Amino acid sequence: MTERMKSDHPGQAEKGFSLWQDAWRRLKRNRMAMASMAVLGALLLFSVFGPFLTGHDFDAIDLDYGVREPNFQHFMGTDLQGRDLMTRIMYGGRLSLAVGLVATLVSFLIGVAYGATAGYFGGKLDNLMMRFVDIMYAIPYMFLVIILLVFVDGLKAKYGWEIDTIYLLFIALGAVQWLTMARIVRGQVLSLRKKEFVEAAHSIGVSSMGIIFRHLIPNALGPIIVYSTLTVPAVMLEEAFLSFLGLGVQAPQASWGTLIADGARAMSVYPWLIVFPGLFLGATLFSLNFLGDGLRDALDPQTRKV
Amino acid sequence: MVRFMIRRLLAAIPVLWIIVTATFFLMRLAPGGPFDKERRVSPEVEANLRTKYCLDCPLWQQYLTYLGPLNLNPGQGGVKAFGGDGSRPWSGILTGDFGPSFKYANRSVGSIIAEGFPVSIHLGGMALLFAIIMGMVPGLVAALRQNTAWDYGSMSAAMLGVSIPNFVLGPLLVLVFSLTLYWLPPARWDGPRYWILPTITLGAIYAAYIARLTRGGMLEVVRQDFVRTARAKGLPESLILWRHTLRGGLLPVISFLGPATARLLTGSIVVEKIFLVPGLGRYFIDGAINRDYTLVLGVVLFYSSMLIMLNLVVDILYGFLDPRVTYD
Repeated sequence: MTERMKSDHPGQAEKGFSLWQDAWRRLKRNRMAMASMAVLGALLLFSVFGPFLTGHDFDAIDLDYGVREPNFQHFMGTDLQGRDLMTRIMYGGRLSLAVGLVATLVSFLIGVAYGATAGYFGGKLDNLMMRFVDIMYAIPYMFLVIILLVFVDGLKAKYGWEIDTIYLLFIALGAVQWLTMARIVRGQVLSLRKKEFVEAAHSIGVSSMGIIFRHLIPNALGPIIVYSTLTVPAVMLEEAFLSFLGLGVQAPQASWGTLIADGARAMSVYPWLIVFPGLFLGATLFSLNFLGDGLRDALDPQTRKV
Repeated sequence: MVRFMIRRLLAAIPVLWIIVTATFFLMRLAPGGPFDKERRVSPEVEANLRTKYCLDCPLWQQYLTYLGPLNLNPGQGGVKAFGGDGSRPWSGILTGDFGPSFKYANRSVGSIIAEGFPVSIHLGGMALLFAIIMGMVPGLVAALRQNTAWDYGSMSAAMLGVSIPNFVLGPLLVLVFSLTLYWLPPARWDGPRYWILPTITLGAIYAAYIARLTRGGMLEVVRQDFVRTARAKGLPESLILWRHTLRGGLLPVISFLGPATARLLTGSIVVEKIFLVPGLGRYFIDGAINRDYTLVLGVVLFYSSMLIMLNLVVDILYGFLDPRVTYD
């Protein structure tokens, strides 16, 4: 490794690299990870700005036109109600990506706060908090999410509430994903809190919260980022799973999960209805997983020795 | 060891209690009831059913009846103190009685589970076997031939496998092998030919994970000192593999198998739906949508107990494989 650094920067070997610069250099050399990043960027642009450019509405039903194979007006064909599939995939992408990102953010906030508190204070509190995590792990949470969705569905029907299921998905999926994050953060904080720089911060009178948020969490950020990157595809998968079962995003909205479910019903005659949404979901998950792996190789000191 | 097992089983009791209680109240407090969608029943019949199942009783009374062991439901021969005739004083899950199903008339939840679970475990077991074989073999090859075409090929395939959800893979397999090539039946569960597609659909993602874990675990172990010692002693490579590296290298796979089996159970909900397999997962989804309280509770409780047992088995297995693990 030293050899590489020298050859990259002849004459300035004394200049150090920060962890982040170093990680970025590693990541840049990982071609698959960079390709994944490009794919994800393209998908994001496609989903966010695409609908303005296709010239079709995602929910404009045209029964006279009906279901058509991919053609020059509709690059990915139309569905049974004559809606442009590409526009629907773009809208579905917005929803799927939004669920992935927001639910991950929720799990990130809960997990980091919880794990850091447990790890920093240690002792009895830590024991108690981690036992709770153990208990939560033993619960088949997908069942609880399903029951929760049915519960809120009932409330909506009775009181005429107008909440989108999607907000519920943000919270429900985020709330079940924080457990591993809490464990990772706790482990990191536990090993960091005895270090000299924390002692130094103590001695100049920094408060506990200040130490946790200013000193411990930033130093544990590597594994946290890696795990978050891998949480996004996991959450997107769960959203698609729930929507596939008809419990997630509701019509006329569409996510990739509902599009796949609709496509699966019609695929014997109109295979493109499942092939395109499946392709988009698969490509997104594939890229996110590769990027997550690349980030781990770049950031996680444990796998660095290879 | 025995103490460890007893402690773990005791610790499972509050967990199961929390699950039952949370599920019970979530299901019951949600508006809408099991008879909403069955518009066929007349109001009198519904009133009869409500009395029979004690649906208008206070919630705590229903809850305690469900939990058992005392039957507080006056409509079904509950204890005299609650207005019943005392002909059936015991009931509830503590007596092993999961109650009657609301949706499937005249059937108990216990009998539905007894019927659906063997199918689910059959599917799950085959998928797991498929995943272990199709995961470990490429994983081992990739580790032993690191940085060759074998390695890159199998790891790319594994990454692809991790990224394709089973509800995309299933329909695509049906599209290719049933609807285009006519090799295999697209749905149902009537014989070995019917088993193939659901098994692959359910097992593929786990095969991919196992391949990655096997490779990672093996690569970690072959760098360790005891392997170098074994090699220095002059042991043949095959013996080093079987006696030394495999044992440590497969630990990550073993610890993955516990949660994987759990996710296999939830994953099979979707696979059972796609292929119309008459397993427990389908009953759960139907039950949740139809507000079949007892059926949902029974299935959740049953799966949770299974999950806890499986985790315990994995932990015990772990102790046999890794001498560094002790139970205290």
